[in-house]
Amino acid sequence: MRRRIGRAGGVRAAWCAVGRAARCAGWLGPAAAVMAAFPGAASAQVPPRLAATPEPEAGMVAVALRIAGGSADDDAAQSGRTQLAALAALAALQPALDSLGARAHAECGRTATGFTLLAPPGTWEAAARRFTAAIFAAAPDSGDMARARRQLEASTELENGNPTWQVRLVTRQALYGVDDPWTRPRCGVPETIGQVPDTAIVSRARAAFRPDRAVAAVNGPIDVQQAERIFDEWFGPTPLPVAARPLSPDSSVRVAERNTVTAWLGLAFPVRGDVDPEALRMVAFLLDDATRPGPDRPGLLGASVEIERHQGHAVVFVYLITEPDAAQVWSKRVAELVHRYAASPLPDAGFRARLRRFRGIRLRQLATPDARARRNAEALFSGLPLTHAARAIDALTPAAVQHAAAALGPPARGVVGPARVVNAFPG
Amino acid sequence: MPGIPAALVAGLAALVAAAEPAGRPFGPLTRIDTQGGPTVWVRHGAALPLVAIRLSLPVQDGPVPGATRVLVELGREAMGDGAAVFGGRASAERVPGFAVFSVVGPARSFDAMVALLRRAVGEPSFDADALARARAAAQRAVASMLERPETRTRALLRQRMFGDSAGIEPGIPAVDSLTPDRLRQVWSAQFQPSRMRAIVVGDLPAPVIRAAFSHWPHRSVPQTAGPPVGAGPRPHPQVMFPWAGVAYRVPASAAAAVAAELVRLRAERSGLHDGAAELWWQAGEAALVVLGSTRGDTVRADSAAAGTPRLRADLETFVADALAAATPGAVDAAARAVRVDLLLAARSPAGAAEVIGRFMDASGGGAGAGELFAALEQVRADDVRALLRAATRQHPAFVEVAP
Repeated sequence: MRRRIGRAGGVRAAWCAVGRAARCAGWLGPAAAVMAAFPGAASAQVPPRLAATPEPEAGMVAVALRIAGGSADDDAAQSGRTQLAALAALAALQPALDSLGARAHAECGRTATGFTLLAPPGTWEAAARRFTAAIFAAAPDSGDMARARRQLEASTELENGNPTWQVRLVTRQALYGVDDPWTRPRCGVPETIGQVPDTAIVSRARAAFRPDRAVAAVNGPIDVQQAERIFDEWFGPTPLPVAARPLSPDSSVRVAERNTVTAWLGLAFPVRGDVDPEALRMVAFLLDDATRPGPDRPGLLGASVEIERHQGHAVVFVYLITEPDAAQVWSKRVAELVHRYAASPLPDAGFRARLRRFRGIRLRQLATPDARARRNAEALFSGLPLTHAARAIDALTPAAVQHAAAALGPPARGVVGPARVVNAFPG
Repeated sequence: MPGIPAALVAGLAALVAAAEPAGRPFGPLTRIDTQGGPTVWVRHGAALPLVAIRLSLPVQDGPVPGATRVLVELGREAMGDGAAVFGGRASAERVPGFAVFSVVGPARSFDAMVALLRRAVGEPSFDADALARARAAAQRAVASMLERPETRTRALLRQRMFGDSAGIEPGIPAVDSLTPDRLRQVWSAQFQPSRMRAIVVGDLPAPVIRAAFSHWPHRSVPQTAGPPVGAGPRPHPQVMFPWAGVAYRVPASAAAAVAAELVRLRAERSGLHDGAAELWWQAGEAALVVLGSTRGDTVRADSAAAGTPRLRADLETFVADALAAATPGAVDAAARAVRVDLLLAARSPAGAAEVIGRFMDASGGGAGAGELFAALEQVRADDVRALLRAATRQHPAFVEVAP
C-alpha cells in the first residue's frame, strides 16, 4: 500500500517539487484517508483528505471532489472563469466516461468547486482515475472550452437577473460588503462568460484544480484500498490549506428597488463557533417549517432556507417572498424565531415530533450515494467530523439544537421590491 | 414518472433468461407470501435506514370511464399529509394499466408507511368534499393530457398499440355520473389486495413485512349494471405546431431496448423539436415509439397537412438511420447507456422500487429489471439489426396532432 515518492504521478511529483520534499519523504499515503465506519476514525497526524465508505448494496459508485477555489477568485471582468475551467475539464473527459458508462458533473461554488462522478461498480476505478486526471491535470482543448461556454451561458442566462437571483445578491452584499468577491454569482454572468479567453480558462484550471487543495469522498460498493490507491497518486500528507474568513456581522441592510408586485427578502445569519452540522440543519429545518406559506401565515407567499458552508464559517440564509405590506413583519418574525430557538430548548414532546420529521427528510436527501459522498466531502473540506448521517441525527438533543440556534449571529438583510418596501428598510 | 430514463419510460423489454446474477440494485428479490394481502417482493440492503414501498395493481376503466382515476385520487386524499409526520413522501398515480401508490420514509416508520398505503387502497369513505376534489383532480389530469399535443399523441398511440385508453376515452370523464355506488363497485372488483403487488426496498425482517401486509380487509360489493357513463367533453389540443408519432410492434426484449436507444440518438441529433424514441412495454407486448414535433418554416402556418407527412417521414427515417448505424460498437455503447440509465434511476431506494416494480408490472410479474440488466450485456448487433430491419418493413401505427 505505501507508495514510494518516485512512483507518484506527475502532478504529485510537481507538488513535491515545490519545496515540500520533507513532507513528501514522509509520505503517509493512506494515513490521510478515513474509512467507512468512521467514528472519528482519522487517527493520522493530518486531517483526512479522503473518506472512503463501502456501501455494498449500492448500485453505483459515487466520487465527490471538493477543491478550494471558486467564483470569489475570479476577477469581476472574468466572472465564470472557474466554472468554465471545471466544465471544460469534464467536457474533455466525456468520451472516456461514456466508454466506461460513467457520468460526471461540476457544481459552482464561491470558495470551492465540487465535482461528482457516478460510475458502475465494474468500471468505477478506471473512471475515477480518468476523472481525477482530467481535473488535476486538466488540458481541455478549444472544442471542450466552447462546449463549456455554451453550457454555462445557457444555464446562467436563465437565472441571472431575476428577483430570486437579485435578492441573493443584495443579501450577500449586506453580509460581506458591496464589492466583496464573495458576493459574485457562483457560476458567473453571461456577459463575461463569452469574454474569458481560452488561455485564462486553462490557466485557471491548472491554478485552482490542484490535488493539494482538494478532498475526496467515495461511496458505493468499493474496497477502501481501491479508493486509497487512486487518491494516493494525488493527495499528499499535508493538511488542506484553510482559507478561513473572519466575519464581522453588523446587521446591515442592503436594498434594491425593483418594480415587482411582491417583496423579496433575504436574511443571512452567520454561524459563530463550532456547531454540530446536523443540529444546524435541524435549525434550518425548523425555520423552513415555520415559514411555509399557509392560511395561518398571511402575507407570506414563499420561503426557502439554505446553508452555505465555507472553511471556517457557515451562513444560514432565509429567503422570503411576501406581500409588500408584510415584508417588515416577516423579516422581524424570522429573527424572532431564531431568538426563540436559541433562548430555550424545545419541549421534549415537540422536539421528538420535529426530529422525527427532520430525520425522514434528511435521510431522503441522502438517499443516493452521490448525495452521501458530497456530504462527506463537504465535511472533510470544512474540517467537520465525519459522521454516519442517521446516527448523527439520532444523537440530536433539544440542547444541541438550542446550541446551534444560539450560534446564529444577527442577520444581515437584503430587500428587493417596490419603493414603498425598500424605503421601509433603512440601509 | 420521475427518475426513469426516457428510453425506458414505458417499461422495457422481454427478458431473456437470466444467466447472470441480477444487477445489484435490482436483486436478489425475496418473495414474501402474505395472508390476505398483496404479494410482496423485497430487495434487502440499504446504506441508510430508509425504506421505499411501491404498491401497484392492474386497473381498467371498462364501462366506467374515469372511475379508476377518481379512485386513485381518493387514495391520494386518504393518504393526505400522513407521510409528512415521519418526514416521508407519498404519491399516487394512474399510469397506463395500473394504479401505483408509493411511499418512502425511515425504516422505523415502516408500519406507518404501510398503514398509509392501506388507507390509500382501502374502501374509500366517499366523503363529499374528498370526492369532489378527487373528481376535479381526475378531470384536470385527463384534460391536461388531452390539451397538450405531446401527451395527447402518446395517449392516442398507446390506445392504437395496446387498446389501452388509460382513462382518457371518451374524453374528460363525466365524473358527476360516477356516483359513490358505482365507484364502490369498481373499487370492490379491482382494488382487491390479492391483485396487488408491493415492492419493498430496505432492510427489514421478513416477519415484520409479512405482518404489515397481511390481513388487509376487503369488502365485496354486488356488481350491478348501471346506466352507461356519458362521454364528457373532449378538449381541443393547444397546438401551435404539428406533433406526430409512429409506433412499431417489436418483440419485448433487451435488443428492443437497445434499438430504442439507437433510434433516440438519431432523433435527438436530428434537430427535430422534442424528438424522442422510447420502448413501451405493456402486458407482455412492446412497441418502439418515435415522437416529435416540427416548428417554423418547415410547416405552413395555415396547414398542417404540408408538414405532417414530412414529419412522419422524418420519424420513420430515424429507424432506418438507426439500422444503418447499428455497428457492434454502437450497439455496445447503446446497451451500456441503457444499463447506466437503469443504474442511475435505481440508485436510491425509491428509484430502485420504482424500476423493479415497473418492470414486474410490465411483464406480468414474471421478469425483473435484474434479468433485463443482465440480458443487456448479451445483446448482439445482429439481434438489434434484425429487430430494426423488421421494423422498417412494417407499416407503423401513426398518430398526428395538428393545429
